Amino acid sequence: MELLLIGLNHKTAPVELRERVSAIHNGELLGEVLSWPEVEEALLLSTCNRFEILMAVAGDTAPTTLESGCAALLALKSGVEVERLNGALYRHWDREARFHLMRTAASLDSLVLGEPQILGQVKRAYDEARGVGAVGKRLNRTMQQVLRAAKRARRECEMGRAAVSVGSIAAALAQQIFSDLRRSDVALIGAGKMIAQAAGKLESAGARSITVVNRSVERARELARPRGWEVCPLAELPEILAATDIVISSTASPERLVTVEMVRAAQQRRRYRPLFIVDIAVPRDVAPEVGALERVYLYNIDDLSSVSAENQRNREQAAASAARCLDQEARRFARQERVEPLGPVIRALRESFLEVADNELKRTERRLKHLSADDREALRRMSKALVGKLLHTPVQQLKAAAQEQHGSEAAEWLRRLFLLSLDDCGVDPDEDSEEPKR
Amino acid sequence: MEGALLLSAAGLAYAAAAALYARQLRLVARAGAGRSPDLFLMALVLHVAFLLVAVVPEGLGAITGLGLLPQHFALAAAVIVVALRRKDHLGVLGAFTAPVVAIVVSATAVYLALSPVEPSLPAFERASLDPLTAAHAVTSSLGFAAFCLAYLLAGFYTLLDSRLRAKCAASGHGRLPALETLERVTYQVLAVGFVLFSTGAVLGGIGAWGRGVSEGAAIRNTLALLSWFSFAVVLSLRWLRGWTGRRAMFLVAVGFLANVAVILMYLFRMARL
Repeated sequence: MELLLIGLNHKTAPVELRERVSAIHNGELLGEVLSWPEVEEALLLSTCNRFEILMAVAGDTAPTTLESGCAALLALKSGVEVERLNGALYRHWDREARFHLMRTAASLDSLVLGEPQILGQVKRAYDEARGVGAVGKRLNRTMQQVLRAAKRARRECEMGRAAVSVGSIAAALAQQIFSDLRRSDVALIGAGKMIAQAAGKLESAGARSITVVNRSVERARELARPRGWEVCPLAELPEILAATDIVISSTASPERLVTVEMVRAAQQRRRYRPLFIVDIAVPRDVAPEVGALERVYLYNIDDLSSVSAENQRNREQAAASAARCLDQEARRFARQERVEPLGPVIRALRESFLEVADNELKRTERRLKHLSADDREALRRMSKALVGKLLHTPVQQLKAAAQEQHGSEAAEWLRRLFLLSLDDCGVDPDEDSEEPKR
Repeated sequence: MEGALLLSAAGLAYAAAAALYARQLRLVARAGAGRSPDLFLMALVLHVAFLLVAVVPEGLGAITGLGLLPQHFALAAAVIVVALRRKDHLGVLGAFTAPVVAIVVSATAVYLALSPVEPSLPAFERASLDPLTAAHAVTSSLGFAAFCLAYLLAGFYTLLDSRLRAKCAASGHGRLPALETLERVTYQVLAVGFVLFSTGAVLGGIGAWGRGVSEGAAIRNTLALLSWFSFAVVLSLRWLRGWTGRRAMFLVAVGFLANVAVILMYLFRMARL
């Protein structure tokens, strides 16, 4: 047991518990955890949906002691009863810990599946821990593996490609219609919060201008002024339609505000450039017949919901293939880990064979004094090559066997078989237990 | 023989570009997929080198040889794809064009390599044409290449438009360019094709002046006129009134199909040059 991940997230803890735990001062907590003799390295991941501590621990650590110690510390710092916290905490050891972190970083464990922020948050947590010297060789290697696997899963499975919120769907659809949103003007009919959120996405996608059209110009100003948007009274809607590319409508009006005649006239004036209308109002603000007009793309709230549901299904499919991808990566790392203990032993074995060959060579050279310097060099090279070739197949076989079982067992056999001393050939037998810089 | 080698290299490069484009179409982020336009450009350079090294020195007869008309078609298509990629993300156009160009180029390379007559290029020239008719054939095949691409783009436009209207386009069509881009590029390519096609028609008309008109030629001329008229209507209405959309794309399809019929009549010897 070398790696422990302990934490809670949106699946195991309600928001009031999460907010109390996330209020803990990260630096202090990290310092306390690192002061325990069992913990050699540590890293803390704290986001709005999760709080996790990853620790590299000494090999002889008793799992339950450390787990209960962590729970008690978190309870003390957050002021939550330890029993309640215990019910919300999950604990993963070694490969499970690494696999959990991979899933987290690849956004397979997120509230919004495929959201891109979590990878950055994991990277930031890693950088912060490195910055204070809390990460050493083992966590460094683990985090490199985790980040590499998560990046691969995100890249190859395109998890975040499909938008799921109203604003992002509107922005994604607008990008499929208009070649450059920086040349597109947006009109908002209504001045509510929801419309502002949707427009915010279009603004960040680069929309050239945003005009708020509302019955009450005062309310429109309240929404528009802090954001630097323009304002227009509802009476000027026909003119606005003729000068706009994207319309988002969300009012409480009981009658239709945008009629077919209005849009037809606007389309003539705008020379039939595409017009994208998103109507998220109930009852609808835009006459449904508008959607049948040439080069007008009308989406109402149900259409957006069905697109969102389709995109959510796409994300779930992508998540399934990302999970397969992470599984492959985890198996690859596990194979690497099994082969790793062989490294110092193979080096020692090679050194020992080379030493034997060198001794024999020297003895032979004493008898063959007539050999020139070139001949001696050729003999030396031949003996080295011979050692390399003799060892090649056994080493490959050993590595293959180590991938199936545990490498350290095979390494132990090699040490016994050839009486190898790792110290003699400059190999540090305790290489893996390097202390982190604190 | 060096002509065959150059053309084989060009064919291989086009095929490799086609494979990378296909990969790009499947998944943008896959390694190597982003290199497809560069590979396509390299193939085009080899293709042009073939024309300069092996065809041009053989004289006008070789350049306008009927056997090389598919080469002109392929070259024009490749030039348009390369020209468009500078401005717009039209990898999807390359993905459909590269395999066709690769097949045309490779087939010609194989023919040249296996040709029993030395030098092989004159053997490629199946008919001796007067300069006007030859120029008509070459400009028409260049124009046809542009129409093929315009038709392909119009197809993408119609596909994306209908998906957007069916409200299921938000995720699955990220690899197609924006509707506006598709529409603009379709018209640009159509305009290029129209100029070449009109030039070819005028040259062909002058070349055939005073000759009798066979029944096959009369049908062909009618179809060519229908094609020319469709494209003229689409282009002028767009220019004058901003007329675009599915109806315009339908007219593009009519013009293109009439054009295909004309080409087929030549291929099946129902009308002669």
